[in-house]
Amino acid sequence: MGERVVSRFARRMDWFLLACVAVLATYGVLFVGSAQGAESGRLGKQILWIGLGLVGFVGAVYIDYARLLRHARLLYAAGIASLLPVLLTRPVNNARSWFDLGFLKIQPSEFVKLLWILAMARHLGTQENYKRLAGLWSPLALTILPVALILVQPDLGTAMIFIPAFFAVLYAAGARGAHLAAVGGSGVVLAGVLWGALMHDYQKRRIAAWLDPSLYQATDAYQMTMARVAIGSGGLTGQGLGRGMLNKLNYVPVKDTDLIFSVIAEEWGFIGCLGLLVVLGLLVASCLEVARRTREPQGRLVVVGVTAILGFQSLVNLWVAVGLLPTTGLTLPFVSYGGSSMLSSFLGIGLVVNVGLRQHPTFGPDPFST
Amino acid sequence: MYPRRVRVLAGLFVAALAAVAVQLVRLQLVHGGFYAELAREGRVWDELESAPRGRILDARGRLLACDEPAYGLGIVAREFPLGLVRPSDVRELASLPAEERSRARAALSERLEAEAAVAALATLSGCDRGELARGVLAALEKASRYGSERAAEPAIFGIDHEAWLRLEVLLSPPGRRGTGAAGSAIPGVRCIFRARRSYPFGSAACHVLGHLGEYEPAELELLRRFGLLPDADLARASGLREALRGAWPALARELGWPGADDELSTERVVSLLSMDEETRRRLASSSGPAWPQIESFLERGALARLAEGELVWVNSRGHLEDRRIGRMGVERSWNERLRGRHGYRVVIRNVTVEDGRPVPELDYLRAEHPSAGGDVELGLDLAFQRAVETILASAGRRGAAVFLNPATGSILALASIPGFDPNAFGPSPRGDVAGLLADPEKPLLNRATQGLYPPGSVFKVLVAAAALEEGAIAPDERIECSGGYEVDGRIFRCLAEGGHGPLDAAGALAQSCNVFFYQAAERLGARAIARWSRKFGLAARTGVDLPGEAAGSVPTEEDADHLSRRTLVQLGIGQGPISVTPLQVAGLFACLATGVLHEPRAARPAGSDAPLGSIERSPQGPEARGRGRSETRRVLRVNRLSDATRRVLLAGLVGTVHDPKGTAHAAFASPPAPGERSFAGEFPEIKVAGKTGTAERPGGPPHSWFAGFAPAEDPEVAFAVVIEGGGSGGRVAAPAAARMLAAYFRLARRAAAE
Repeated sequence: MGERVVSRFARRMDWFLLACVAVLATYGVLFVGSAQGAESGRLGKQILWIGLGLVGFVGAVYIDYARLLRHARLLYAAGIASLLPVLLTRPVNNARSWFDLGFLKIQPSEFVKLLWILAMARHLGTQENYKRLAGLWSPLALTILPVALILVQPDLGTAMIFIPAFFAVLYAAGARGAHLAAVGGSGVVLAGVLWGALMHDYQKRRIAAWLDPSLYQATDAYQMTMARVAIGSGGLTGQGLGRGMLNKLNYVPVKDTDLIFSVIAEEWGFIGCLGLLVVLGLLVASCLEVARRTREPQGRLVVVGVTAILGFQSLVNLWVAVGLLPTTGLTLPFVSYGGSSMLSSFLGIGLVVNVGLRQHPTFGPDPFST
Repeated sequence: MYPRRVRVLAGLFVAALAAVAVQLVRLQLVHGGFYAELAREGRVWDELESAPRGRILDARGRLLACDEPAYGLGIVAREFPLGLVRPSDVRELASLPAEERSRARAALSERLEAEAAVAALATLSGCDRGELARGVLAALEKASRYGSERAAEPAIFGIDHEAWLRLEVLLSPPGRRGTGAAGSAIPGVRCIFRARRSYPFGSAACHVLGHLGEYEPAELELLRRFGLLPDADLARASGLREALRGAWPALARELGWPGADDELSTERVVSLLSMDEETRRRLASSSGPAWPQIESFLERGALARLAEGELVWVNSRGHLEDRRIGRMGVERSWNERLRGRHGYRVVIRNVTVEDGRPVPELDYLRAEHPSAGGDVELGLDLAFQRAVETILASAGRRGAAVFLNPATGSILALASIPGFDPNAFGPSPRGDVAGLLADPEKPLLNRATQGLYPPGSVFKVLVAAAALEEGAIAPDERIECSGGYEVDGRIFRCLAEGGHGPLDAAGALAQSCNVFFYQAAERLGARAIARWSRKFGLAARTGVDLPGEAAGSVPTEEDADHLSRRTLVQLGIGQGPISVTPLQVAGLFACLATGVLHEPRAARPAGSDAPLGSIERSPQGPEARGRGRSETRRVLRVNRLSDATRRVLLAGLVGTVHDPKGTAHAAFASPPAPGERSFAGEFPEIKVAGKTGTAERPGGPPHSWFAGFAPAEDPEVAFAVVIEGGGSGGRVAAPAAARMLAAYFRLARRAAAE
């Protein structure tokens, strides 16, 4: 029985997708190692996280996603519940986003992302009223709740990811474009109003610094300026692994987490970056291919959701690194150093593969056709 | 519809990725060169914050060596206005061959003298224009070599403090001091200061203190190989190989490395430096005559510690900043403690892009504070030390004197003449270092620890002790001295023309009868002499905490069997194949005084509770040589002599001074100079135990020795004095020692009265 299961999985496993993940993880190991030095504990931890991620991946693949979806509400509630006590912890870098267990730190918002997707998939997959404007309230509410809790931490970056993911999932599910535009528009207006009221000083400064870096050289714009110089100095082929000057001399802050891309750019140059972009694109394409193949509506939404999250997070990270966006504090999935991020990314990919493996029967025409 | 929507999403994603790619093209390909340049220029450098070096104090807390600020000027190559001289002229200097370079340099610095900026600076600072021009050129050269055109490279020191303070105000960049100065009077000049080692008492205790200096090319080469100095242009590795050249084959063979011309790789050198005692001993015995040369290289034990990166500060550009390391004396052997730990600041010039040019602005990224070096306390008293040095200098031109505390081994005075002024050394030397190095009188040689002399009659004490203990001679046995002794057809003379007549051991010591000791030596045999020499620490390093100690030699027990009779009897009176250092001789007498042979100590950490010489037993012998110097005393050996032997020796040694027939009697009984009192007159109650020595040597007058301890019953001090080529021991060294002892007891009395 076991062999049959394994061989059945093996035949239908999307190896190409996994290969893309492997390449990204390799980038991560190489450059975290370069950024932090082989003797520091971080490289070892990164490999440990990848190992844990693989375990999580196997777990996420093994359990039939339909069972997960059955408990989606419970899981979602548990996720929301976990976002409350974290607000009582001691702030790290001005944000209360972590549970510090001593030997490791857990960031609940990383996992809530996935639980939210499950909830959305289940909700949208079982009814159709989101095709009407009024029907958009419930998914919106589902989304606003975790976003608000995460914004309070405050973790603007992670909260931000929910927004495009929300739109992507609804769009893929078939909501009308006009409705989505309306929601989006009013959201922008609301954000403009709240900007002054609710934004933290440092968040405002980040945006100001992004708009006019020359004024903030040594302080808020320092990070992005150093990143830009590091990236630019990589040229076509880079300075060589482990030889990036700005990397080695520690002049780029958070170079192993948020700005790992600048290390890659400095040391492997344009060629190395292009490689990364291509692999990322291929990964997203593979995931969307899984979504296309899947006819079961909730499964599809799960895949689209996970892809949206990973994709947007990567995009934001890259855009910040090259200076197209102000600093946000988002990591590059699979590449950046970070346990919770790595684990949740692997779990997410696990869900995608999970859906891809199982072709649950669905009746009737494609429910997503409009 | 769904597939289309997915395609739309996919398309958006690709577009977003493309935006990243476009930006990358802009940053990396279009402006890549610019950013690379920016990365280099915007690079930070580490500014060294030197740790203040620890001080060296004497036993009473007087300051013998300390840091004082030296005020000077630095030049920022980028900003300094040059009219007649071009930056390319300076750069070209580096590519010239050595002979032309000094000429070109001189020519260039003459042109610099004519520069307006240099002239103005000279006037403002009060420096000599030529010296300033040379300094400016050196700074410019260094900047071009190391790429530090934006840093202030030192040009000249020694500016008067008042002038320096005035300059600081004049030269500060606009707006920085809030004075609203319209502009810096001369751009590109900075007021800098750094620590300079000062020895307030000049040449007093110079050999004990030592001096500072920079790394030698061979050491730098090793550092470079360890990757600490990636860009530095240094002397060839052959500098190191030169040092080992003659000894290399033996070394390679002993260590089992293939081929005599095998490459002196980094790993090989490290293994050389971290060799353990056992290997070192094997190496010594197999290298034979090459050993001293190998040993002097291995002496650079400080290098091993440096190579591990612990003690050396090198900035991110690979520039070795640490120029003040001890090269001699306590400055060297206690360098680790004295040096402290340097701190540094990482300074960044921001990378603002304005009109495509970077605009400089400073920010400090990281800083580590320096931790000051620890002070070191010497065992010697400055007043006594100076007295000893003065007296020694008046007794001869070259020589040494050592005074030890026999209870602990701590050094009360250690003088070697001629001496030198340590203030002459350092990164900006104030004296004539080259002259010191070339001086044939060798002022840098520490004759107390490095001078090897035949002991002459002083050795008779050891022979007597050995003979009595071994039973070769009975305590009251008398031997007839008729003035000569025949050995294998040759007659060896005694001091007294007609002979001393029958003498016992004590008398033979007091009157320094050669014949007695010729016979004693024959009866003892060479093996016993060799063995007893070692027991009392002769012909072996004492392990004192002063670098470069010589070991001396005495026939080994294997060689002893092959000695001719003639050589044997000569050994009995301390001539022949035997050489010792004054420190060893002082140690010998200290051991005779107390029965314990200590490891001599010059210094200890200041403020430590252990008195300079708390005794700690170490029955196996000297501590293995290795990292750091222990602060507690080491007992090297315990040599308890029988009461009978002690009585005889004491009688002989005291008789030398107090018996009218003793060879040192006149020295202590008569005034050393008109108007001064004799020792016996001033300190009638103090009995001095001593032995004179007149050590013959080929090619010059004999060395004059006097060594002993005092007071005889309850010794406070053990000493050895030697004057090179001084002649008779009783006539030159003994009177000098008498005056030194007088000085000691005078000071001791005064201290007791306080």
